[in-house]
Amino acid sequence: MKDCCPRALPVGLLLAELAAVLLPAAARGQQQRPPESAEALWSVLVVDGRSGTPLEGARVVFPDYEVVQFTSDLGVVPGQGRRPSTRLTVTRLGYADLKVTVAVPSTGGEAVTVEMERAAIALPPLTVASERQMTSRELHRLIFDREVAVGAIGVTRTEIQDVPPVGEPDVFRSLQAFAGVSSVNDMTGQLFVRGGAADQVATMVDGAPVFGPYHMLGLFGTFNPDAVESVEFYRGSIPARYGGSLSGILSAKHRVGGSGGTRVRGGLSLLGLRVAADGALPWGGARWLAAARRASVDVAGLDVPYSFQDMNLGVEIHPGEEHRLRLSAFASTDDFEWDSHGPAAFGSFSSEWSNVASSLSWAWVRSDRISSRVTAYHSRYRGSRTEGAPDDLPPAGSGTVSRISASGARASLTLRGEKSGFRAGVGLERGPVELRGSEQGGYTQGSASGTYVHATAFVEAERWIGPLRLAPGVRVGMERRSAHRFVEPRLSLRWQMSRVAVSASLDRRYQFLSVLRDAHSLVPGPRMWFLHDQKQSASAADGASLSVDAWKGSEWTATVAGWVRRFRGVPHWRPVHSRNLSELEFHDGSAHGVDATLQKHGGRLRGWVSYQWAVAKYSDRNSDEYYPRWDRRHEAEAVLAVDVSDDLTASLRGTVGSGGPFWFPAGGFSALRFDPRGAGTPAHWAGSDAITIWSNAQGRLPAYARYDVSIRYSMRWGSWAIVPYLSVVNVTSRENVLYYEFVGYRNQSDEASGRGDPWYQQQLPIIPFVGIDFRF
Amino acid sequence: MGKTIKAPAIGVAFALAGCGEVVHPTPPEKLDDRMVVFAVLNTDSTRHFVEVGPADGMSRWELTGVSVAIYRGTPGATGLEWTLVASGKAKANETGDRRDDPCYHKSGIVSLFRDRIDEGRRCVTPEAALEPGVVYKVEATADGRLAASGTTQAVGAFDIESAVLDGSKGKHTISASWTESAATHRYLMGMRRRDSACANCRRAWQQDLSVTRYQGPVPQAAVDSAGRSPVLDVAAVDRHLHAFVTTGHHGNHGTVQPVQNVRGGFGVVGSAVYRSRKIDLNAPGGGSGPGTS
Repeated sequence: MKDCCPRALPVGLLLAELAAVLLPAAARGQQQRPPESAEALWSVLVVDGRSGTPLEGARVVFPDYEVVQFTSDLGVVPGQGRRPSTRLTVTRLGYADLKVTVAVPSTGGEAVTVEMERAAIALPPLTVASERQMTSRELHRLIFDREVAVGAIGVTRTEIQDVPPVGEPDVFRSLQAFAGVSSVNDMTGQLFVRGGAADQVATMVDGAPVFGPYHMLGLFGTFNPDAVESVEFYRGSIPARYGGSLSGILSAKHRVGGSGGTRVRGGLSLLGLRVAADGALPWGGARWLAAARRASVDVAGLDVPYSFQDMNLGVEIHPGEEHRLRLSAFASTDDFEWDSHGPAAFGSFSSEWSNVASSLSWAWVRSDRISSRVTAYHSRYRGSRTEGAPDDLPPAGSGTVSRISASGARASLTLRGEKSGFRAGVGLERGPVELRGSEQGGYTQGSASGTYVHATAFVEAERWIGPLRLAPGVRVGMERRSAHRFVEPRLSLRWQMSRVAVSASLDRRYQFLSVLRDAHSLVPGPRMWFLHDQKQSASAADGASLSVDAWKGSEWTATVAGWVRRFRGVPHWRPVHSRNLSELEFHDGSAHGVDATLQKHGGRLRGWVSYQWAVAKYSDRNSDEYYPRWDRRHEAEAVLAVDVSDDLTASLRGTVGSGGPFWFPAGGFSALRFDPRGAGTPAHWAGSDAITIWSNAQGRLPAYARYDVSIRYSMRWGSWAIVPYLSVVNVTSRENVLYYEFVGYRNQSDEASGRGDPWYQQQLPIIPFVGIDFRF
Repeated sequence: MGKTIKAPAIGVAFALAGCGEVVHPTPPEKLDDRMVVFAVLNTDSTRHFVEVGPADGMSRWELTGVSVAIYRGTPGATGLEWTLVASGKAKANETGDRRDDPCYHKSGIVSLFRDRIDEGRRCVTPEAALEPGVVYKVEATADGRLAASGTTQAVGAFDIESAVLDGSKGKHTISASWTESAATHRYLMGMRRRDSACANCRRAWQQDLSVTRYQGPVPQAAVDSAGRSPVLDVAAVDRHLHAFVTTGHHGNHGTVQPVQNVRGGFGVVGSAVYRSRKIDLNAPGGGSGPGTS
């Protein structure tokens, strides 16, 4: 293997340059902070009304003087003016807004104490204005303050853009860079969370499930980054109001326009074109978003023709002061067909999949203490793949098809008190699920079809006892097809201090829908969902997690979390003699790990550094242990972005990790193809697929490392902005191994000696991407 | 001052962490004790070509003591009861030249199927007259290997009744019909150039049919490829062979194994009968006919 250090040097230099530039900048930033009391005769101290803890980062407005300030680490801002009294408006996430008139102390150096009341369970969509995009820190704080959910994080457009794009900025690839989330290789944007499989992370957009949330055979996510305002991501510990997935929830929220005129933003990249427009309507305070993206590509390294489209639509209406209606629609299609009319008649591979997800929600906020929400949704998914069927066969009836058509409704009521909160709700979801394999070109043989009906109810409660925040919850329900009744208890608690919080959570989860995946082989493509049957009506996971969260100022946060999980009845499909669904087994397993993240949410230098140590293992029915493909033991990530100037931003993402497990290929054989043209002649050496035979022995891939860099330059003319960017993936050109095949050597000259590098498929090589983002 | 020194050092160290040798894992000495079996039984012939190879490493492990047996299944009290009807052993290849292997020349029905001959395979040719509609089991054994076996229902003979190519350039249709083959699952139909072998060439146009006729369009490329004397090929295949040849895929996008029916190993045990017939040309109006481009 060639040494990559010479090519890595520029990356190191870039980092060094960034750090050298930025650390003094951070110091300058501190020096520029306004003096807290040197010039003021008096000051304002903002504290938690219950615990008396000083609150930093509270926004204090002096309307009489048109001055806006934020409280320091000690909860203090300098007072303004020397009138006998002055008005104050104090706001802070997690607390009720406060408008007061205070008496200005006559004695210099005194402080006026302002107590803020906690808003125990805030509803972010009802309290956060969309005029301004929420900052990363605000979202982080919002999720943290709203509820006790160990491992919950938020991602805004800023984080998405700060990750050097693989083609285009992507929500999923940004989330992969956080601790507690693993990626198995460069070719997939799938999320493996805390020892769980990728299908154990449910994806939702405005409350509607999205069953096939990927483009490009899974290379990246299906959400247009210009159409998404923010993403909330629950890792491992999931609130009781969410159901149906063992390991995580990715909940995306569509952006809608501001109160100004129509705005347009979008981008043009090597992949294609995306456009998003938003604005306001003249009635009902309505705001809207419409976005579309289309790509038609022949990706280098994959050598495949590919096209995809997606569309987003969001409308928000305020028919009354207490009411809000939100309509959301999302649709996507992927179409891939490998033309095998080349000289070598390899088998064909074609695939397509599509999503349509829509929702209509009504939120009613009767007061600060009572609110409710009703959501109706529908989600349709269709994925198909055809393998090895003759090209000219009619597509109808060939291949394997997965279909879901889920419809549902849920309603919830939230009560908020001074020291307690309560949320309860019910839900009903019904969906026919079909997995049908055909004789021609089938990925699977056999069918697994059925219709599920889930009736659920949940309760989330919360009680403050001093600094302790206790949050029990439970979700109960029944799946009608299997008559499976389930109870998902959950208990979370948090000990909150001024700068540090310790949280813990215990929970149990069930999952009734899973994705069929070949454990032996990396097979990208659409998800093949199936409904669990009577043999194993649901997968289950029990988990415990503990985290320590700390923050400093308005920019820095840090989290260290440890977790233990136990899985039961997780699908495992390792077909050997046939690809029949009867080969499907359900295995038990366990996972545990520790992860840590340090994040700087704003400033010239921002980004995060994370590390994860995790172990995941399962046992088959012979009690033999094996490791799932996502059992990557060590993974360190760093995403750093620096505003070199007002116009120029440079970003770097570095990932270093240990190799994941794989099944050793034992050998191979040639697939037969009907072709009488060779009748009576010597055999062909080329002209058929070489099929890998997998052994039952596991190994681990070599250690993994990849660095991506990007620069963005912003050019503005009035309300127009054009931002060309360049990103380079795998800038050190390290040859990370995707998989091994056969027992052979990478260099033919090694065959004779029997020593050398085994043949392997490389992950992403060094690839430059260029594009232009625009807005006006 | 300390910070400005440490920061670049940390950055460089972080970058360097992506360097160094890629250390590849070492596989166990012997990964698999199973075998790959390709057997396509043919009721037209008394000689059946069966290829047997190691599942591991293709050429790393030479098989010894390879033998193949064909059993006839008859309904019994507890299912099928098996009676040996033919057996054979792999002969030692004294020259060591793969071309001296009878399977290399693809004699028999296997020649209908494009594949890649791998080193390490052994060829066995048991002889027996097989009866259409009867279920046969093919079992392969070798020293130190798990026995591999599969069953198939032998398909029967049939005849092509007609084959006519109509139309003009870009608008060709083919009309063909044949008699029914006993115990056949599907018919694979294709068109090719007469008296011309084709190695390493483009994939042929073909149809996968459950009925004994075809009347439909033919792509111009297929017509051009077939030349002035096109031939119609029809193979009647059992369900196992059909599943094997119409599934599975390998490429940079991953490997999906074809559907197989060999217990204890890999590959396929199937049955096929093959017929071909010269296609009659019918190009109305003297227009651009087949092969004139």
